[in-house]
Amino acid sequence: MNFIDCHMIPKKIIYIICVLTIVFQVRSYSQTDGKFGMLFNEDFENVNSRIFLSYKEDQLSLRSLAWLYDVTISDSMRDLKITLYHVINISDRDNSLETLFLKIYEQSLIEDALNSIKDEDVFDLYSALFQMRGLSDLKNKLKNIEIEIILLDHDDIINYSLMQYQFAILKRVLSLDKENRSFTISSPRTSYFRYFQIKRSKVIKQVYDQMTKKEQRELDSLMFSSRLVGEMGRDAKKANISSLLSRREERIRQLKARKEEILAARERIRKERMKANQIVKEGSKNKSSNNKIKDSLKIANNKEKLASKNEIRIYASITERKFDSLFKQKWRVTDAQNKLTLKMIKEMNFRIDDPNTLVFFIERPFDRYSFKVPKTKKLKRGNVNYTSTARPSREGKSEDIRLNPDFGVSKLKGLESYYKSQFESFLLENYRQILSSKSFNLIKSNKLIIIKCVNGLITGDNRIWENFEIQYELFVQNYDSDNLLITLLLNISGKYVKNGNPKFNPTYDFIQNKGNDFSVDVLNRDVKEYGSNLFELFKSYVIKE
Amino acid sequence: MKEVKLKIFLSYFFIISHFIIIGYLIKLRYINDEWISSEDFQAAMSTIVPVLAMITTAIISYVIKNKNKSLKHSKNINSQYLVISTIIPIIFLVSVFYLIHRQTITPVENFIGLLGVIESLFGVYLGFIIKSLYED
Repeated sequence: MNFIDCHMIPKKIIYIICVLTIVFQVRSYSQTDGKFGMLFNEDFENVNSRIFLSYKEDQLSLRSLAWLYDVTISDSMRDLKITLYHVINISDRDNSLETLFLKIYEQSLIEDALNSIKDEDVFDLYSALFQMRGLSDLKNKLKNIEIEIILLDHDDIINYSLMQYQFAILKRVLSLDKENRSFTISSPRTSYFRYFQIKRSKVIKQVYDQMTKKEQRELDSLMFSSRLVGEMGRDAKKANISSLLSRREERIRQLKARKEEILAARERIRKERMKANQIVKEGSKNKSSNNKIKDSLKIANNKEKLASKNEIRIYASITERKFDSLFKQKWRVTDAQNKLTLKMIKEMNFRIDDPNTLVFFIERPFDRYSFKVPKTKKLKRGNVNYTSTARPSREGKSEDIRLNPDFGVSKLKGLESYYKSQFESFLLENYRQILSSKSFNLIKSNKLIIIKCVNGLITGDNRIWENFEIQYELFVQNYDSDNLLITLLLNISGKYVKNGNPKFNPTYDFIQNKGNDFSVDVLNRDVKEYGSNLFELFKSYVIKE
Repeated sequence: MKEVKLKIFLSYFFIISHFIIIGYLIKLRYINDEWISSEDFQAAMSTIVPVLAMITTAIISYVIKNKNKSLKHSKNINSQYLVISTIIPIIFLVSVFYLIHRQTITPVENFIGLLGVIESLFGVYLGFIIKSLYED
C-alpha cells in the first residue's frame, strides 16, 4: 500500500480545495511470463487493483470519493489502458463539496486551480500512477497510454463538473510525461465494476458505515447487479446489468448533448461579439451607428449570459408541512440565513402556517451585470437592460469578476422586481392555453392567480373539475458574496368535483359550493406535486431567460 | 274509455317507472363511473323512492285484493278524467328523469330542493288520482 498526499491549493481562492490521499491497493496479480498477467476489463475475477481517493475533512468537511481502476496492458507491453471507475460520490449534499466544484466549474476556474498546483505535487501523482506493482517496470516501454474515466454515479451535473476537474488534473499529470508517449483520455462511458471489492476495502467500509441507511440502500441497489456478476459468472452479468448501463449511458448522452449545446452557444456569442467589435472599429466615426453597436453588444452579452446560465445548477427544496421543519431540511443555508428568510416570510404576512404553502429556494449566482430595471408598470421579457459600463470581462481573472459583497439593497430590490416579473411572465406563458377561455385570472396587486373550472389540471384526471387559487410571493436575498437566494412561496388551494360523464360541465359556483376541498383530501398530495412541477417549470424558464 | 283500461295502463306505468328510476340512479352512480355524485344519489333515492314506493304499493295491494275479479265489467270514465289522470303522472316522471339527467351534465347546487319542488307540485294530485283509482 502506498499513501501519497497531494496538496492542491488554488491560488487566490478562499477555498483550499482538498488534500488528495491516494491509496493504491494492489492485489492478486496473476503472474505470467515472469512479469504480470493480462488484466482486462472483461475479466472481473482478475481485476487487479483499485485507487481510493479520499478528501480530508479538514477544511471542507468533505467525505470521500471512491474510485476503482482496471489496468489493461497489451501483449506487446507497449499499450496501457487505465480505466477509472468513479464508483460513487459519497459526499453529503449538505457539505460544501458541491459548492466547491460548482464554483470551480461554473466560474471557469479549473485552469486557475490547476495552475496553482505545484509541479512537485502533480509529479507525485504521476509517479504514483506508475508505482503500481509492475507498472514501474513498464514505464519506459509504454508507447500509448489511454485513460478512461467512467462515471457510475447517479448525480449528473455535479459529478460531471467533478469529472471535468479530475479530468483536467489527469491531463496535467500526463503532461509531465517526458517520454513523448501518446496519451488518450476518454470519458465518460459506463462499464462494469465490482461491488465486493468496495465491501472488502476497509477504508471504503468505514465510509459505507458512515452513510445513512437510505444512502446504503441506494448504493446497494446500484451495486446489486454487479454483485451478481461475481456470483453467477460472466455469462449472466451482461443481461443483469444491461438495463443499468443503458440508463447511465442515456444520462451521459444527455450531458454530452447539453455540454455541446453550451459550447455551441458560446461559440455563436463569441462570433457575434467579434462582429460587434468589428462594427465598433469601423463605425467609430459615425455616431448614429453607436446605438446599433451597443445593441448588438448587449445582445451578445445577453446571449453569453444565457449560455452561462445553462450551466448553473439550481437547488430546490420542498418543505414539509410543519413550518418548524422548514429550515431543518437538507438545505445549505446557514442559520443566519434561515433567520433572515424566516423574518422576511413573516413580514410578508404570507399564509406560511397553511399546510398548503410550499416554499422553494433557488440559488443563483449574482449576474455579472448590473441590473437597470425600468420603472415601467409591466416588465416583459427583454425589458431588463444591462449597463455595459458595469460589465466586467468574462475573460478576466477570478478577482475581477467577483462581486462586491455589499450588493446594494436597491439592486436587490431591482432583482426582486425582475424575478417577480419573470414569474408573472412565466405564469402567463404556462397558462396560455386557458387564458383564452377566461378561466384564468392573474391579479398582480394581490399576487394571486385564480383558475376556474379546469379539467384535471392539478390532478391529471379528466374526471375531476377544479377551481383553484395560487397565491405567490417571491423575494431575493444575499446568499453570500457570489450568490443570490430566491425564495418562492406558493400557496395552492381549491376545490374539485368528480364526474365521469364526458359531457359534464359544471359552473364555478357549483364547484365552489359543492366541491371537495383539496387541502383536506387525498388529492392534497397532487396539489403539492403540482406546485413542485410549477416550480420546476419556472426554474427551467429562468434558465432559458 | 273503460276505467279498467286506465287502471291497467297506470299500474304498469308506475311500476315500470319506479324500477327504471331506481335502476337509472344506480347505473349513474355505480356503473357509469360516478356520473352522479354520492350526495345527489342519496338525495334522489331518499326523495323519489318513497313516493314511487307508496304509489306502487297501493297499486300492487289493489291488484292482489282484486285478483279474482273480472276485468271485463267496468264503468266508463270521461275524457277530462282520462287526460288529467294520465298527463300528471307522465309529467311528474319525465320531470324527475330530466332533472336527474341534467344533474350529470350541468349540475345545479340545489338538486334536492328541485326534487322537493317537483314532488310537492305533483304529489298531491298524484295522491288523488291513485286514491280514486285504486282504493275501493
